[in-house]
Amino acid sequence: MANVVEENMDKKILSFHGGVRFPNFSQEEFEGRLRKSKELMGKYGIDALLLFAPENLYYYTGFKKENVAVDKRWRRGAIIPKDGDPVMLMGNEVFFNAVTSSWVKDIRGWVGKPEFGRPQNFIESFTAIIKELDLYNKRLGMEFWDKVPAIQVDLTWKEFDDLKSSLPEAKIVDAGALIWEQRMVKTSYEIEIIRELSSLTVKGFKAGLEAVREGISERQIIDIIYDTMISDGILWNQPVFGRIPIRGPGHYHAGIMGPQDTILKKGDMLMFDGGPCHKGYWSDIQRNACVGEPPLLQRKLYDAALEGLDAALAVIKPGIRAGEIHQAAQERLKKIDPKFNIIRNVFAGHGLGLHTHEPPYLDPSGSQADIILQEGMYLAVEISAFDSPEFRVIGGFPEDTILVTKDGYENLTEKIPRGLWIA
Amino acid sequence: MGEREKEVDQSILLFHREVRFPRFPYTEFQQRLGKVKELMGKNGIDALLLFAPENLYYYTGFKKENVAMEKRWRRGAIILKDGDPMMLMGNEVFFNATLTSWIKDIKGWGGPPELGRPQNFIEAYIQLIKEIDLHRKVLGMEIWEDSPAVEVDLTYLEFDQLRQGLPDAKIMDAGNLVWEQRMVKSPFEIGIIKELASIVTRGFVAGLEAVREGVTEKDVVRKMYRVMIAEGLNNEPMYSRISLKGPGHYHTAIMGSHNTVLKKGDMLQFEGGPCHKGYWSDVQRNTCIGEPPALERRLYAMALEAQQAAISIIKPGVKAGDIHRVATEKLMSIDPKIDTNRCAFVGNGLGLHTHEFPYPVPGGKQADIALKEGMYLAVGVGVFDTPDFRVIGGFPEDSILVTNDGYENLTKDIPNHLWIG
Repeated sequence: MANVVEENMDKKILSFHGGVRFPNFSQEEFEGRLRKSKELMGKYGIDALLLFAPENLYYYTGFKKENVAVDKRWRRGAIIPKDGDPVMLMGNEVFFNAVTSSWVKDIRGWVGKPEFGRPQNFIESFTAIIKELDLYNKRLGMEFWDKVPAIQVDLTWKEFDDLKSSLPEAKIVDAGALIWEQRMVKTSYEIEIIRELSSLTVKGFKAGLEAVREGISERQIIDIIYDTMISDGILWNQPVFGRIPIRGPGHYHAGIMGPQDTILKKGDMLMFDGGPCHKGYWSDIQRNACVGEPPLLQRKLYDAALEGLDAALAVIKPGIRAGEIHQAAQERLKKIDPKFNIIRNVFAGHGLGLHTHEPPYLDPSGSQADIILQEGMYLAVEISAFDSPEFRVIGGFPEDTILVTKDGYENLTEKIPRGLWIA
Repeated sequence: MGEREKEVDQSILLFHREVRFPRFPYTEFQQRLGKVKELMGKNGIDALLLFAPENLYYYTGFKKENVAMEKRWRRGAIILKDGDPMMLMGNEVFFNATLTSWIKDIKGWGGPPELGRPQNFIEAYIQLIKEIDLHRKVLGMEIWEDSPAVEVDLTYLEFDQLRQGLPDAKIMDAGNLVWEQRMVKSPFEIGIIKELASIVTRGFVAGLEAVREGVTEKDVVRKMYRVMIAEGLNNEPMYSRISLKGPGHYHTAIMGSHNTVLKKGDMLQFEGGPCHKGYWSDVQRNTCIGEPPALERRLYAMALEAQQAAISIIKPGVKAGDIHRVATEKLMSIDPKIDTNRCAFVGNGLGLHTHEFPYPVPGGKQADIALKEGMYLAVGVGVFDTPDFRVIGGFPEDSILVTNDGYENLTKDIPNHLWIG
């Protein structure tokens, strides 16, 4: 595909860089991930993975998307063959980043200066590489997310259509299940990052709880949380913070809203929900707080939810089904009060990682509920008890993140005071 | 729809009757709706089917407050050319929508089985289209065929299911229609953009002032974040990359900041900008630790001169491509040998996205877009030491608002000379 000019220019760039100078993880980590993906391709009968989702590129190649735009000029993708070396195709603006941060050796560019002689159409040149690698009539796994949790893929529907129609002899299948099977078990390198993240999250949330008092606004509390985490090191380029919404007075059932300018007064109740992102990995925590002494009903609901959460956590160890976590919480809540029903909450938590929600989901039933826990899984477990449907109080919805260990679990966020916080 | 669902949804709606946390005023909502209906008429589209978070925010007022692309939280809007808009919201985002959106007809899906709501988003959405008799009409979707693309919270497979479930509809790309409207900002949007510009200015000034021997790139970025948070940038789920491209990788475009400790002779590029109430900023500056080589001074001065020339012609009626042409001509007049191909891109539109219409590109349909009052652009010109990259070069960039007779440089208070730290 390359003409002489392109070859020379790209060689010059590659030699100038003298290696992977800014790797996001070690070569050993890269090779381990690659080996595992090849093993899984064998198991799933897939000849190559075609990857376009930013987090999949980060995980499998080490190239991390450092901007928020879905710019067509910056299109990038990777081909991971079951037999053979991976290949990346990078837009001009991200080519330099890839050669300095990815352990993939065969990195090709598209677009850029006309005299580079590089291809000018991403889908056409991606297809050309597939043909060059003799994969055009093979089983190719793509990011369709059929029957598994979905993540964003930086490719429009039209580009998917174009890619499919330019590979008429290929059998294109969903690679979603394969990718999650690998990514839901964290490597020891990933666990190290998750531990750093957890310690920063604990500091931030503690500072946030301590800031709750009469006269402060929801947004001021968020400032304090962010500021604490920034000074302690949460600073991966993009995206930096997760949503850390506080859901305060007067909208106790307004799910998933951000903080308001509302000034807190005695009797108000808050929900902290969310978490930051560190080196690409997300945290997700919940706590409830009250300004002044809460009504008895609020105490009762929070205590019930916390008891449910502890019952759910207690069953966690390798070998159990994800659904058993939901079941344990459900049974405990019913025992406390038969009217409590966490079906309202649909799930009892979810996996975490490069996404805030990923497998395994702690569902009551279905394919996610049947996933067997393994050492290295990183989960958010969250159990609710609400005053539904009246919502006179905020209710209880504590959430901790945990790591599945060899013989049980480790609660990574237990140092954030777990009781109903009263300011 | 089950009786139980009707009952519960009615009680929720009664409880919420007021839009208690609107993102923009009702008049703003009406103006946006009036304009989109006019554009649907012009483009022969009977309804827009919207799934991209920023389009939902713009047209309905519902703002996505999380980073997950969760199938259980699927949500979409149907904006009719004739008739009232409606929304279909997953259980977890239904409450938020009823509190924040001016749309009256908000339907829920998913949630506890006892609500009796539909449990499959795509099926429920198709059903809705059939109920309002749109299934044989021209439907505009977010296909982004020949316009800048944005993320749509619907997988390719879901899109395909939707398409196949509507065999009698004519599905068209609504990309150009959406951009035609969104690239001209309303006075309400301009108000937010000005708040944003003032926060960004303080953050960037603090960042420049923090540059000195002995600090790390990350220290500088941390300082900027802290200043901007203190200035009120705190209602966003996340901040953008504000990357520094420092020592030793002068040609690595779009990388983040490192823990590298800055020393005399290092050169940095500040790039990016934060997000405020959904709106993005995008600014660039270059700095050096200690006196830079003459080459660096020369490249930065050239880039700045060309950028200022490009900005100076901005006014309504000028074509986007003219901005590029003026920058290129200026560079050629300074140095005919200049590598103008590097200047492939001299900026981009800004708004709810960091890159959107209009693009000041040299040719093609996008270059022909005539500037209008209310457009919000980033204009930056890069001059590099290609292909050796011995120095970082110059790449100043400012955020510009097109006014009724010219432009306003919103980031002019960030010193734009080559900053020496």
